[in-house]
Amino acid sequence: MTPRRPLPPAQEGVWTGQRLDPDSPAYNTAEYVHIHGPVDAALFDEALHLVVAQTEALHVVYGVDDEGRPWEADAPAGDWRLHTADLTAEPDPQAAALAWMDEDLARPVDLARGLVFGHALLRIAGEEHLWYHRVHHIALDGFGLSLVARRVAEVYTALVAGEPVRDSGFGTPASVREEESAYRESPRFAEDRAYWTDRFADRPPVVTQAGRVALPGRTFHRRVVDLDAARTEVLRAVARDLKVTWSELLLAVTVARLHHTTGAPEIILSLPVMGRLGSVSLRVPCMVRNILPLRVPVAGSDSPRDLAVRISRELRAALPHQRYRYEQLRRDLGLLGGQRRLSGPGVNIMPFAYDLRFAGHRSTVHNVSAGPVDDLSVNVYDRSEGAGLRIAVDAHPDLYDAADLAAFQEGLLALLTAAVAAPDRTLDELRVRESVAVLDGGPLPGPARPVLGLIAEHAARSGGSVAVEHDGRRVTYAELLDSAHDLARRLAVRGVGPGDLVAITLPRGIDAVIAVLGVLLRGAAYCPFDPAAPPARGAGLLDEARPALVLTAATYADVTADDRPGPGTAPPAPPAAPAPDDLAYVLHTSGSTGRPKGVEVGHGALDHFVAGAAHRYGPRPGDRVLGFAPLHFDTSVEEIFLTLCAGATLVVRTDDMTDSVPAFLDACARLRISFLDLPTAYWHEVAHAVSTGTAALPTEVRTVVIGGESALPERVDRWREAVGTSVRLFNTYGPTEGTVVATVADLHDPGLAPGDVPIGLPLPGTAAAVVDGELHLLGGNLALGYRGNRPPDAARFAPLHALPGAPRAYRTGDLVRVGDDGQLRHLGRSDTEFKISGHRVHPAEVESALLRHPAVRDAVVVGQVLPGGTRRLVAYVVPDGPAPAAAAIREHLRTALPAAMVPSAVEFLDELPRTSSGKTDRHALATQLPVTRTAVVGTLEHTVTAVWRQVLGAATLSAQDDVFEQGAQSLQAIQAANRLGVALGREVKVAWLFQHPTAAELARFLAERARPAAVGLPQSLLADAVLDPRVRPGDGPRAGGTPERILLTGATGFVGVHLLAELLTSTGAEILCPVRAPSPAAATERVRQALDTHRIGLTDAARDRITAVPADLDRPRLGLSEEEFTALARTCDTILHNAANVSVLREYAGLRAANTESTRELLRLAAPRRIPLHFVSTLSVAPPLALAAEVPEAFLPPHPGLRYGYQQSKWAAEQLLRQAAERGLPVTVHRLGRIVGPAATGQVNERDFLWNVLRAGIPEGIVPDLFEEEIWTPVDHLAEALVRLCLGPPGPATVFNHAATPPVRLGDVYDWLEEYGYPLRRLPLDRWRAELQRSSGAAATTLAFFDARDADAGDATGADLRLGRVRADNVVDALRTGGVTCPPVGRELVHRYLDHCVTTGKLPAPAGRRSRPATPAK
Amino acid sequence: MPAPLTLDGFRADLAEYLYQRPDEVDLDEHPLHAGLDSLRIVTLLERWRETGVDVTFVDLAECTSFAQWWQLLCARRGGTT
Repeated sequence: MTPRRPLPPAQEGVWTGQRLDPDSPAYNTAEYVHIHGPVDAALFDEALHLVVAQTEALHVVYGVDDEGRPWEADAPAGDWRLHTADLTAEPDPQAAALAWMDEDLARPVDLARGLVFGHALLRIAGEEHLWYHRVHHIALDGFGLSLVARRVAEVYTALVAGEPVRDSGFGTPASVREEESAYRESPRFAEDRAYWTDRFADRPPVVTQAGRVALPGRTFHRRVVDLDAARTEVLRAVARDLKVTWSELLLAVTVARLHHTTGAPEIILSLPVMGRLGSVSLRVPCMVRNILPLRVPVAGSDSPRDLAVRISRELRAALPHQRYRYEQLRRDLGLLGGQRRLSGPGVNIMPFAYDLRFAGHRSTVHNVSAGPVDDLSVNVYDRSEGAGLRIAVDAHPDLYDAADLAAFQEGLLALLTAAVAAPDRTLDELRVRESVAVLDGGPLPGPARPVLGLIAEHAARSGGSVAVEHDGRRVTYAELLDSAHDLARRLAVRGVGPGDLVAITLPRGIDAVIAVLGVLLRGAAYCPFDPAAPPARGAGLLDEARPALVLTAATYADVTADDRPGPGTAPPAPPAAPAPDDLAYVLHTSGSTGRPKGVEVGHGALDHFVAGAAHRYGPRPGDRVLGFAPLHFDTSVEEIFLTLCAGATLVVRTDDMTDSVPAFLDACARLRISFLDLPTAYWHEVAHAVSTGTAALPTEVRTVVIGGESALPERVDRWREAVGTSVRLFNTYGPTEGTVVATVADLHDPGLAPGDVPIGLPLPGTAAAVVDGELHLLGGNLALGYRGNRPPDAARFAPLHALPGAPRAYRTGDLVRVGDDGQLRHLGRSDTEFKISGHRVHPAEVESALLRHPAVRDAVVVGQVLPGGTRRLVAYVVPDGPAPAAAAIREHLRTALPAAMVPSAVEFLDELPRTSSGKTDRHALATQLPVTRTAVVGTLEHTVTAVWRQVLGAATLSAQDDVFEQGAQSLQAIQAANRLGVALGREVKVAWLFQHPTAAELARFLAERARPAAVGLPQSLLADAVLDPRVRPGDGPRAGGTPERILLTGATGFVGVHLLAELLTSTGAEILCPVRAPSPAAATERVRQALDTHRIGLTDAARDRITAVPADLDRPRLGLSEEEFTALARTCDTILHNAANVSVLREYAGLRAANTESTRELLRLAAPRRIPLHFVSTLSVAPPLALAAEVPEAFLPPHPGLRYGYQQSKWAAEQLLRQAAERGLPVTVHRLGRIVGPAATGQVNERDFLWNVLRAGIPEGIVPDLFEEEIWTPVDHLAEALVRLCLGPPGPATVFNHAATPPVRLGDVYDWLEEYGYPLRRLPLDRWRAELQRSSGAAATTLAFFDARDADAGDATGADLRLGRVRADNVVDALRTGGVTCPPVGRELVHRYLDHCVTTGKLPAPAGRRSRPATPAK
Repeated sequence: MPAPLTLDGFRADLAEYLYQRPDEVDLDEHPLHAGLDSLRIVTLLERWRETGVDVTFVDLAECTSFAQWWQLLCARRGGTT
């Protein structure tokens, strides 16, 4: 092997691409030459060996040095053999040959080991042969392949003829390298760079059909079509006529096709160029090919001629600069990594027909693979001997499926035909009409009838039935209609007439319903406003709506109480029945121009909607429908009119009904609701609660209608699992402009696949069309338009010319897909609109409110969907000067916007991120989810940042910086990946660094990736979680009354000893304590020691009530004799099972006896007399945040977060209790967080892990980042709370999460330590471990713990164990009733602990602070 | 066979592909820098071969000026001169 040399630029580009996915065969290029004639295989083999030996580029190996820099070195390829096969016996020899080629092509090449090529000679018929030639793109490009093929033909021909072989005439790769070096030193290089950086200075957006980028695929889809000679000749002739080349005309057609599919005003193509003109490389088989990015502005008014001429001109300007490397330009422009790119689809024109003769026999060349396909690639081959062109269209399989590719290719060919036939017609005229999918909701059962008439009919027919109920008040249909007529008369007296608008700001209730009907009966329209809206917004909207009257709660009372006769004598004549185009109501939604817009809905649309919806899913007489929505949401229209037109009863909810989901469902049950209409966001909560058993759906509920935003598939699945398919669940979709609901899907359809959430089909009587992916609504439900003059918005109502007759349509801006079942699926928005809590929010409206704040210079508002499905609005604000408080910004917004439109987070930025075209990069902001820092991720993030800093030499790089914007190049990415791999001891793919261009993102990705994907619980665990069916409540006398004998397990532990003390002080019972000891005396001694260790003072009388029993919880019957066990079962009144083996490092098998089986034994003991059993568990049985947004106070199904033996053993024990509870045994489960020392004394829990970390770190002034926050409970409070809950009167709750206090942030704890006087440096965990001296006992223990955790593969991966929001309603409720309050857990408590530690010498007194006397105990 | 190639004809052919007038064609210019691509060179080549010149794409493509092309074309004018 010769010395290593740095890689030439062309090779470096390929090498880097290969490194992104080392096992990918994508860089294998191949072609085959079909030789029409006999071939002498031996001579062919000889010729090939000779040519290969002469082709220096095939004898190179590639490697990487310690710094990650690639090198190449010459090394003979060594022995290789021609593969020969006779396939003539195959049923389809040609197909067999192609299959063999595909298989060969799929084998990745190891560039470090050489042999980058392969040859085969396949006989497919008597005198027909295919010579297959594969080579890695790093060695040869297309032209290089052709040089080799030509040479092989020449040598073979000479050998067959027995003539001497002429000199190859090949130049050397060394000469090419020298030429390249000279070029890079030349002024030409600088000129070329200037040309390109200037041409792309604005970094234009690259628009493609897929709309995103993907890492290079390993394969590609391909569709090949041959243009026959005649069609090709037409193409050439038209090109000549246009004074362009046929390739330029093909480029023009490709651009036109891409413009048709994307609508982009500019297409940027990737053009492979030979790069050999005037170069020594013309005679060197090697790889010098380059890519030229070609910008082509395009508009629908352009003709193919315009485009071809434009392209020709652009090419003439660009081609002289074609040697400047594409990769170099990307680096110059900062277009590496992430979603950045320089150019889009490729067009590869190969004008060289090989006209090779093998010993006089004709041949044709066929390309098999042209290398990796980044997006779409159109390859055009000029076939030999005037056979015409071959067009092979390739597509990246991750971006396009076979159908996409087929559609693109067919469209391209159709356009080519059209363009050649009429090169001067505009692209708009040439657009091949895409077929528009129209979905029809079917006919209405009869003509739509006026809603007021329908309600009047019910009043006439069954006037005594209840129409509306609210908060104990009810009105019948007769009363309702009377009141409404009365109001209509009074409105007339006030001068309100047909065509007027009446604003209503009444809260939910019967009066609001009367007001709506009264206004309509008067022939006027109503316009509801949020009574709670900020006055400024309300005033603005009122100004624009220009109502004749405003009905507030006060004016309504005034109007209805006013008995004055009107200014005439007779009451005004009732108005005529409204016409379809008469206005019924005006509802406001967020506007894209920064102002809310009023949607005007006519009576025709209202009637039509009610008819369709009633037929499709509406309530029936006798249904009790919950009135959930306030009037200013259009769901209220559905609730009021569907209900009243059906003769059903509307039960308007009270405000406090939604305080909690269980309370809500309880209230629904009490109110005998049968039909629920819920905003999807609220239904998500309901579905969750119902699925976890926290709440139950009332049995009378038969129909649930949801709508307002996209339903989460996960919640739908949960619901279907918990509720089944007997309750009808309708998913509705519809903008206000389409009158409440446009489409409906039956989510209760048992045929729906899990995870599939369609929005269904249009309502009966309406239709919808999908045009270019966007949903357009059609039919009688459409609103009249917008109130006032709103040109940009009004354009959304327009004739749809794509359909016959151009019917009026509303363009929704919602992107949809029609599934195989014909139902619609919602894919997202085509604009920035975001739905939150059922509100449509146009960020522009929030932004314009933000910009009115004097301290705001610039602002962007985006909607984000957090991993748990939570939707939130975030404002990114560039302050004008010092940043104001986020709270002040939010306060400012609250005065101008409804609550849902006030962003939940305000973040300050120095400047807004911009896209390459200079627009605000909303996408970047929308995907910039809150950084979820955790110990492990934090550490990982630190490591990744450190590596990037080192590689880039940028000491100030932050975890949020985009490394590619900071100048990172491919090579540096490879270096960084290498170093990270070493630092983390695991594989880090280069591709990941490109996908996650900030250290924070990469760290999150790495942490995420390490998490196991599926529930892999040990089989024994699931078996252990089953409770023997014989464990059932006994029939005999049950334990009850004031407990006299209480069994407490684990009494010598930290929690146990405090429970023991609490039991002794708050009861007069005997406390039986099973203790691992050889004798009763030893057992008693152990309990005494435990009390002493924890300085628990008890009176002798109290101590006398302790009965220590030698036992072993790991063994059957708790290690007791049969008689002892039975005696215990007979005599004890209550069991507190607190014992556990908490070795967090042990496997499940080592813990099941102590933690799971002991619980089984105790249940067996408790069941016959139904002795209450209270189990002390842990919050760590809950799924982590990534799996569940909250931790319910309910039993938990198995989940992938159960990874450690300890968690698993406690979870299995909980499962046993669940079954016991289901069988009617009185059991409770108490899950604890971190239990800290007693608040009263300030003592610490010396065996606590966190305490040991602090004790090790404080003396050395360093503390680690371990976690963000966690729940702390002082042990004395815990003992009091737990004993109160266990011994108090039994309530309905079974599971208690002891998390009633807010979580404690570790950062705050460290602040408090510093305030106490300990100077501290906060370090990532790995650095803390590295810096910590192993001298002290605490340090050694702690470090050993971490070391052991490293050894446990499960955790070295760094999973995020944070929990979601921990529900603690059961604990809070019970303790409030019991009058128990938790002492504040904060600075003072921590300082009290420190006082105690300093006093007892466990910690050194802080320097500069004299040790204080310990805070006296209470 | 079409008439043999003359210098004026050569200039005119180049001018057509360079979008220039024949008298504007700079024979000292590098074909690459003039904005020619391989397809245009192949097309010119085919046209000139029809006049009886025996040149290949590589022959032309490795030249660094149009003047070299003309020299080459003259040298390869098969047997007519």
